[in-house]
Amino acid sequence: MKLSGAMAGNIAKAIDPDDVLTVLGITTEIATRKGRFNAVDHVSFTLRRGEILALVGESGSGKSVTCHSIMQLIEKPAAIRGGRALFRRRDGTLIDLLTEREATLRKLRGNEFALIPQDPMSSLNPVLTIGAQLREVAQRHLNFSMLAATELSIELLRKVGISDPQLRLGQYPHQLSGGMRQRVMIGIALVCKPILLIADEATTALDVTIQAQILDLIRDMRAGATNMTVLMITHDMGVVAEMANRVIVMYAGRIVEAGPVDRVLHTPLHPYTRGLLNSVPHSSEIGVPKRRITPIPGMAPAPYDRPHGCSFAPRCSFAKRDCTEAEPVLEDLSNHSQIRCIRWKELCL
Amino acid sequence: MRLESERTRPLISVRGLCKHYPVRRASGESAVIRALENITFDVFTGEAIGIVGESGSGKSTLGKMILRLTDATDGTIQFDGTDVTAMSEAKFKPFRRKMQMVFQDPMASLNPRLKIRSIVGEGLTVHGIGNNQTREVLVRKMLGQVGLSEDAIDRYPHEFSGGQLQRIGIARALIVNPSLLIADEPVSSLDVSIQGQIINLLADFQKDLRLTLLFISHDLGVVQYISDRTIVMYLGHIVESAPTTSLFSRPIHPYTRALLSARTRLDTSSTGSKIMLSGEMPSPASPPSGCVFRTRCPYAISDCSKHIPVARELAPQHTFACLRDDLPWLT
Repeated sequence: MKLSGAMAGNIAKAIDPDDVLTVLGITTEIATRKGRFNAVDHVSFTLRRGEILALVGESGSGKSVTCHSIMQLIEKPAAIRGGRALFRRRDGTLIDLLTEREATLRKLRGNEFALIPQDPMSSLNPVLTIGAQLREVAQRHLNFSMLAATELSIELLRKVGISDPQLRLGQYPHQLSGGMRQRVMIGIALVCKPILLIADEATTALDVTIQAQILDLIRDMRAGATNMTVLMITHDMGVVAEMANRVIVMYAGRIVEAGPVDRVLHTPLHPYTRGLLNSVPHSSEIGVPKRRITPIPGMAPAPYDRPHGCSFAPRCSFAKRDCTEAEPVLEDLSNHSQIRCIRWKELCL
Repeated sequence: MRLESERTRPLISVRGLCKHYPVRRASGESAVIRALENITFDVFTGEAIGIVGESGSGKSTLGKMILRLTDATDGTIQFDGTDVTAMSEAKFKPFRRKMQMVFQDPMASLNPRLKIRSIVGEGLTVHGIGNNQTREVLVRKMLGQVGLSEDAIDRYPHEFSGGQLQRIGIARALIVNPSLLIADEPVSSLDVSIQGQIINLLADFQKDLRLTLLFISHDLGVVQYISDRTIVMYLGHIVESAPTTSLFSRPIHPYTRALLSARTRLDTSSTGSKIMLSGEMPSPASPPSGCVFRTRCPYAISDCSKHIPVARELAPQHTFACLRDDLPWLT
């Protein structure tokens, strides 16, 4: 369904042609035996062409559900309750991914936008060869011949650092190591040179030397003619620092801080962001003395039992009584940043 | 600082340790997986040793072998001066109490049908320490030391989060008062904010109890934080071993250099160009001849395929296994 009506027209006009994805107030609810809760609660952000945006947070923060909602990969017991995800197609038209028909989405997934999922074993088909799964994308979306699709598959496997690609094409997922399977998934996602790549902890399970190869590849795809836009879900602040232009920090389903990477990493405003940065030792350079890490106390609240007011307050060393009274709003700051904390100004001083 | 006698007599002394797994391929031909080859190192009392390497490097196998969870193909392991390599299970039992392990996945390593009382107290029962009453007291005390409330004792594993379960795993290991703790990727399954809590807990125990810690991890940041000395492994071999500060400030082996340069850093301003390794680790069923790293090494020469490099000393305690004397950063 194309956007229609006067309001939709206004939205379409307001969106810059270089905005590849505009997410407006997306809300996804999950029903469990213990109750209903918003796994994603009014999350909004924009992705500019060629930009890498990192979505950071712990398990249960809603970062994966956000991405799956955008791709309409949400199934019961989860349901999208509201919001828009406006995607600029290759031909320049704007569509709302949340209301689009499944038939259209099928043409777009893996083609104009692609997902690198977290778990490669459950994403690859165990009874098809690697080659068949790579070729399928090129044949379906690009109308490649069998031969051309095979050549492209070999080239992609080589790009993701898999040795002996001809041999691998004839093998089945179980014959490959975990790291290799993950790289095959990355290869599949890149077949059609998508406009938008969503990488859900794509390199988390990989060894560091392989991770470096993959991050390099994603950087390459972003530069040059492909000009790919990347939405990257990660919990690794090092990956954020090296890859992203902007970062969004999520906690308990909501955005708590957003901004340019340098600003967020060097002067984090939200106590949770600070906590995240201080809670793991970072490989330091020569001569830097060991600094004791200060982990965040406690743990994230159960989603069906979130505290009143600020969700982070029970773990926050700066929490006052005001913090537990009302949910803080997400404030827009001048430096392309957003912050959801009533005390951020005092804490900055 | 360490006493001289402790310095000279290691708590663990590993000499020429090998582990080969015979496997039969689907095609019927038999092959040998060379998981560990000629591993030699010492660990002194109170030391925290980090073992780093990528998947398939043999680091977990090494941890299991020291605990005799798997038998050696060749070589010896001495614990506190006694050769335990081929000891019978009955004779080995008192040593078991002295060496404990914390596993990667706390949910999978704790029996879901037992209460925390039995899980944490199991070691006491097995080794006949105390009676029912004193055991209960010890378990409660241990739970407090790992930061859990005493009422945890009557609950089951599924009632706890991953971080809490890892605390229980640590309590289970430490309650028998071991001198050696082997932690195999103890934080990699945990959330970032929880990882820090567990790392600090282990670091504090290590210092307070003068525990000897063997910390196995792929996370270089964590290893740099927690260990005094670091051993780098690649495809079943030790390629470099050094005091942690020397290893991170002056890595010598080309693999160590590549590994360190590949890690991501928060401070991107100081990041030099990364050393990109091509390809991936060869299969341990058919390792390259000579130096196992040569197929990916930017500095490999023809001699590297002919000789297996032996460990050479760069400085006291800093050894590396590379044939080349003319590496640019060595001269």
